[in-house]
Amino acid sequence: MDFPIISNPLPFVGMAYGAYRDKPPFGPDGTVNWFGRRTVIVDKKGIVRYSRDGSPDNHEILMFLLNLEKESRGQR
Amino acid sequence: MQIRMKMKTSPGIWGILLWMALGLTIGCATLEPQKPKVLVPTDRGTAVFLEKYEFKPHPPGWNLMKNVEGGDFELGFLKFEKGDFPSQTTFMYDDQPYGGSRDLEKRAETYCTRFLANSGIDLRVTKRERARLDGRDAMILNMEGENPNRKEKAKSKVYLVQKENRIVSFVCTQWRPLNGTYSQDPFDHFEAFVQSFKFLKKSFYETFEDELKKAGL
Repeated sequence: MDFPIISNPLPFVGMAYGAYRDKPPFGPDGTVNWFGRRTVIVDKKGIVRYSRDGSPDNHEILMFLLNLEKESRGQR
Repeated sequence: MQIRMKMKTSPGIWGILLWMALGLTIGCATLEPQKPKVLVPTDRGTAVFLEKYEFKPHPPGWNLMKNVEGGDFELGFLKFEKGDFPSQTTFMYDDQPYGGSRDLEKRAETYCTRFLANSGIDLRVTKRERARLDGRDAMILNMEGENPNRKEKAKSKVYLVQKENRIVSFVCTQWRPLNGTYSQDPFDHFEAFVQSFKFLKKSFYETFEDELKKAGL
């Protein structure tokens, strides 16, 4: 599966998708706090249909996309 | 004046309450979903993992690793060994090895550029050969490398296996301090694990491809 990756030096895209953390940019141990990992699925109409924090759950995402495709074809 | 009160109750009420409590307990027990046991020994001298895979069980001293987050591996074992840190060996079955190509040669090339990259180990392939594993095409990669800054080294053996139209992997990595010596025993256990490994169920991806076909995708 191929998908585009957004490079966003300013945080407006991260803020729009809820991935930007409203915290100081660096934690006491030096970890970067700006962005958290978030997986978002946007449907063909531009509507956010899925949003989860943490590492992507490939199984869940693939099943979600399959059901979304079936839904768009009126198969569900 | 002390007043002692004695409650008079009919034995029938206590009986009803007892039955209600029992009923609630049994009800709760049946509502709890039954989880399959993680590792079940069989009378064939093997072990079954989550009803999905069967293999020769790991010897004493090896611990089952838990996948905390992400998809690094499906099933794995770890052994802490004698010697200075990081003297330990892991072996695992990973159904999502690095890369996306379904061609063994191309997948091996991608795999070698990413494997152990995060640990800073400068890996070199010492042996690369084609093989067959349980009737399937496979590629065996032997690798070794060092990280002089962290004063550690690693030795790995990897099987990339063509399973249906996907590639899955078996990986064994032994870690040692730079002045440590590698031991063969863990690699022998890994070999027994790989050679005995059986798939008992269709994987998620195989089932998913069936679903795609059904949906005409």
